[in-house]
Amino acid sequence: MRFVWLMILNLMVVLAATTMPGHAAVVDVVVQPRQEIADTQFDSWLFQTARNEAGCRKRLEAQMNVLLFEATRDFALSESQQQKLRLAARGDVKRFFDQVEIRRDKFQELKHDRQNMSKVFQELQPLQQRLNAGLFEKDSLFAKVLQYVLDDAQQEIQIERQADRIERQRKAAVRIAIVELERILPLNHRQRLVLTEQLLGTANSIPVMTRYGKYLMHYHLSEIDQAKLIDVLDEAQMEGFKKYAEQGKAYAAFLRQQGLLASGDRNE
Amino acid sequence: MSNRLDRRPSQIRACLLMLMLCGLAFPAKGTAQAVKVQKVAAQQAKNLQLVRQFQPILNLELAFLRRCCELTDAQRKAISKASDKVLQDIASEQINANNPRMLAQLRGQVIVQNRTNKRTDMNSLIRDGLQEVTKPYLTEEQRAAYRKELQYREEAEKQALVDDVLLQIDQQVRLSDVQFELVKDAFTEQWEAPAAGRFNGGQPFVLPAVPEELVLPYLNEAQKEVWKLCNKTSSYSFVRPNENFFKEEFWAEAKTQDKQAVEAEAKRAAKEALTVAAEHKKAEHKKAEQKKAEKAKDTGLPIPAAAAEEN
Repeated sequence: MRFVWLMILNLMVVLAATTMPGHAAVVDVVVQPRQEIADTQFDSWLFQTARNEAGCRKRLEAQMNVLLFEATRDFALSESQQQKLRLAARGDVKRFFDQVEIRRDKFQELKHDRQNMSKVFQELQPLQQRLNAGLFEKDSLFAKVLQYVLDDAQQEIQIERQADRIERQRKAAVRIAIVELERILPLNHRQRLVLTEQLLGTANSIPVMTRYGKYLMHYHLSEIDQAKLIDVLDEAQMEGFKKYAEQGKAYAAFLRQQGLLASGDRNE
Repeated sequence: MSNRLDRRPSQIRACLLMLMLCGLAFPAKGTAQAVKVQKVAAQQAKNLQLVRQFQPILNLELAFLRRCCELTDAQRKAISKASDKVLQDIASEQINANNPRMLAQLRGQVIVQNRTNKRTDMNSLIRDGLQEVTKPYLTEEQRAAYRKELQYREEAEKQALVDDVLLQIDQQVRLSDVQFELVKDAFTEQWEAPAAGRFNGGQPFVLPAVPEELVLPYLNEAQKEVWKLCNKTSSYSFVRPNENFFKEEFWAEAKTQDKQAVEAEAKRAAKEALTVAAEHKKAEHKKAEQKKAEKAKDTGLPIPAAAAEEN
């Protein structure tokens, strides 16, 4: 029995010792981390959800196949046209990863220097933006070669299809923005319809593949002529809308910086 | 004898242990009550916290109701009172310690698992609750108008959510016109979208976490490969309205009370001022009488009654 009590006492002493602040301090000194940023951090900054280069390459390959399939389906591409497009897409991928390597080398140089690491991070921004915007979208080799290989009839189909897609995206973005507005401003059916129509009039640039699309639509809401809403919204709603529009206007500089807004926009 | 003496300390320890166990098993009545009071207080504090947290959603719903049907002052007053119960009920139901599954945090958002085992959100619960409590106070016409507006809004929200999902899918897998229509129909007809749900898109290789069976049957192999490789993000959101832009008092009784309080205060102040003025007048009168009396003393004339009393 005495032995059991002694054991309990021992256990309590050990527990107390290990939870004391002094003990933690000793451990801290022993396992102090090295002031170096892990290589995986670079991948995580740049490739985000794709995690690493291999994951990113795999996804880009799949994306390229989808785009090739789309072009073949929509424009009935010949084998030779497909071949040229495939080569162009691979060129885009190579060009991108060449730039990645340059940044990676810089990262390796500076990974012990935490203070200067922000420089590497800043230089990664354009690459991130490129990836976010889509590697095979406009200004890419793929897009340029597509223009080059399509004949007149195919180009007409392309223009028509692009216009349809943009219009579909614009209408959807407007509907989404109005529902977003309703999260702070109550609207009845008639008011919703009028605001939707007004926003369709101002929202002309809708790049879908951006996480800042919400802010862009908020900005477009601020472009609505408020005089046209006086008979539609009541006083309290109008007051709320004005405040909301003010905030939307304030996004202009940021949106221009992100390349989502042309410099000649009305509210500037 | 010596053996018996040796055994004594262990017997004492055993007794003490028994006493401790009894204390744990049957705590004193006062202690049990104190614990119970503490529990109730903690529960009430949590309730209050939840009620405050969700009040902006209710306020927005009340403002919506006001714009669906013209309400009389009496209706607004009654609904305002009844609507308090909506949040109270939801709060007490959510903090049911026996069923912690009811309230969960997912990506920092409050998600509710309701009795039917369907995922819902706080916004839907508040909307449903408000619809229920307003029933007795609305006329048949008002109820119909409210129902109609709710339906329009639900359709707009569902449409926006389907739009959002389709745009993101289309951006990644490039749907043909036929595929787009098929997937759209599948979502519109078969998807039970959460009322406050939304999916944060705009990231490369990211797709909304939606039921695969509504999309995959319509994709070709190349598109399926992209679908497989993309990360799926879910963000069933609890949306708390930002009241910096729009804040409306549904029923302004508090203001009326303030007005009454101001009037009462004004009356009291006026009464006080009158009393002070009367006292001042009285004091002045006394002074004048005293002066007269002093003058009379000097001249030998009779002293006024008030001054004589004072002297």
